[in-house]
Amino acid sequence: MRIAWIPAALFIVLLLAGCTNRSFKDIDKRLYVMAIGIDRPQDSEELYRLSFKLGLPSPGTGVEQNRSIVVSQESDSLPESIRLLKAKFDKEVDFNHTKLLIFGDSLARSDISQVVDYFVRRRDIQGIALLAVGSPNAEQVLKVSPKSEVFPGNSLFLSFEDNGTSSAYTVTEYLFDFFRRMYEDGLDPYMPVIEPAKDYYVINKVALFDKSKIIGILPPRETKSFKELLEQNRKMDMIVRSREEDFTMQVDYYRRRFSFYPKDNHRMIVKVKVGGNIEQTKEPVYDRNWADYEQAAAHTLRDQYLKTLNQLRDWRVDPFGFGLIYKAVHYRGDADWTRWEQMYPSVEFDIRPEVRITGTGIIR
Amino acid sequence: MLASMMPQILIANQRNGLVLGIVISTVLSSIMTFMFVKAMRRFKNQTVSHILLAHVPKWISIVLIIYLGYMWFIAGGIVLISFTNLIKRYILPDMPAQLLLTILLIAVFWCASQRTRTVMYLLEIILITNIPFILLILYKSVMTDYMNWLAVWNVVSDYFDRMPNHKVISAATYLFTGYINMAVFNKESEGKFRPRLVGLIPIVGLFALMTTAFVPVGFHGPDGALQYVNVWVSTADSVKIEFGIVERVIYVFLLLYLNLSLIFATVTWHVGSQIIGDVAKRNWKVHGFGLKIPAVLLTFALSTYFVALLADEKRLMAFATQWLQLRFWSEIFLVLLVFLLSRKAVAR
Repeated sequence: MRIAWIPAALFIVLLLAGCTNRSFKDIDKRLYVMAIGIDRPQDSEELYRLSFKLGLPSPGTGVEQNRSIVVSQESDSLPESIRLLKAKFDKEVDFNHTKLLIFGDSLARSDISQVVDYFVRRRDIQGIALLAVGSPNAEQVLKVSPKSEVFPGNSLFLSFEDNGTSSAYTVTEYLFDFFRRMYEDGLDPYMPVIEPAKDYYVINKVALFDKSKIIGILPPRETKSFKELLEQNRKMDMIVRSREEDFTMQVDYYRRRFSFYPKDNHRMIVKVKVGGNIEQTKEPVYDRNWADYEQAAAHTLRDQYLKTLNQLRDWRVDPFGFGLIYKAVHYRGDADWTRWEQMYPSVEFDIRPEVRITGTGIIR
Repeated sequence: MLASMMPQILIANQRNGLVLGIVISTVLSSIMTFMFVKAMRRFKNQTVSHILLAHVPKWISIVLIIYLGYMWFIAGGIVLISFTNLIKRYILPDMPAQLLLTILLIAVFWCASQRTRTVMYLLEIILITNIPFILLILYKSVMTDYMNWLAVWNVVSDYFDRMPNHKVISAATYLFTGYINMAVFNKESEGKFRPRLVGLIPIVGLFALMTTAFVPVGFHGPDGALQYVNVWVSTADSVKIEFGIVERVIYVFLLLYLNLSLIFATVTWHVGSQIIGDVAKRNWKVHGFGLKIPAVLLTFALSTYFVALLADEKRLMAFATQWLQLRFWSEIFLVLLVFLLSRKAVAR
């Protein structure tokens, strides 16, 4: 009884919530932005063209599930364009479900560091938002509504996350990771590239950035090698065509390791261990010497990786963090980084693949 | 404090002897814990105030006690203000900060004015219910592919031979500072309290310190981690549990953070108010309800409220850094003083 006045005071404070109904809006008074696209407009003076993909609430259940609209606004500053977009709706625009940020190709080729900075700075954009480059521009990517989609914008998220498809060509990049790569010496950012088709998307390329802009875009084949080396992705296939053999392997074991030659730091060793089944073949494999097949596969792998790695080196981008490895095995602080910057253009890659065929599938 | 300012200070000083500082702090704090607990056991059922009043000239002891009490008060106050900023940023952006702070202050005021035993039970309950979630977040963050161990190794290896500076030591020892609350909790020990598993303190502490400092570095890189204002909140925002109830770990983290901030402020304010309250023997009673402790707590709450009006994030951080260093020396002083007094008491 003697302390009863304290909870009483607490309850009085709770009543004060009535004074602040600005801070609480019901779910039916909110519009959820599923994805944001940022472009650099070609035909106007403004700096940014911001597009929202908004999920619209369904009137009933089951009838019309995937309803979304795309709205755009041009402005010189991103906050201003968001405010201007807000002025077009009767409901509060909510970013809590924004899981995808798409940067238009032309913007990404000029400078996106300020835009990324803005989204990291905002409290309501999640750190685990997905990033992508939209080609030719972000707005067009947003406007596609795939037939397979159930919830608005959902198919794009599913493409990038492990619980959706696991394509061997689709790399994933999160906002926090991109931001980290913007600041880390010896680890450069990258983003997947989305291209809209009529009723679906094609996501099979990767854009490589220096710290702020696109340096180059890898074609699908190299993107696959890139993804394998980056994520140790094991759900992939391997096409082997040599003079003797012509087959495709389905890989279910994959491991890679980067290291430096102990004596010569200009040479990097890339050890790759791959294991899997034969998936498609011209002639029966079972009774032949599997070692030949393994060697042919290793050879193909070496050629593919060498091509990708040399390309990245020539672009002077380092998404795998070779510079970080160099810095980690040398102990001179900042001097390591300046040395590595000079070294990287002349680094050579020594790829040591090790392929093991474990079976031939159901038939011989 | 644990999740906002301390990691910030540690990471900002990654080139000023962070690694050595963590090791030295662990050793130093473990020794101090041992000394303090051993010394307090000699004084059965007594708080630090009782000890000081009994063994030190009166006017010195009163000045000391008020100084100590306010050190405890500032510890809780900083946490409350910084957590108010955090709620305002992440959970309720449209709510006025003063209102949020008022609610927190009332909750802490109420909890801290309970009996010592109640506060200890509260502490125990909060710890037991929260630790599984803390472990889950740690496990999830350490085990993802986005935790870059090379960046961590870079920070650890390149500068491990630097001598730690004052800021690193004072921030890192703060993690171990819970033992100092024995200054009041000793009241409930009844002479029977025996510290168990003391050997775990350096191990768990070292592990906690390393995760505090190095997980953000692994997630954001040595330079990237410096970009964030609340680096651990942003780290929690970078982790996701796809098949958890909520995908975004940040909300679980903020909830834990709320619990721990409130219990931290409760314990510090309880200890602070009890220490100051013990100076006066009289407990001004109205209808059998002692006003002494609530009066002290009221001054705490009001000063926090007015300081919060003046403090912005940058000033608060600068103040906390300064305060941590003062606290470090005060803590050493208190431990040594109590230790010497306990030796004297036995000799007598």
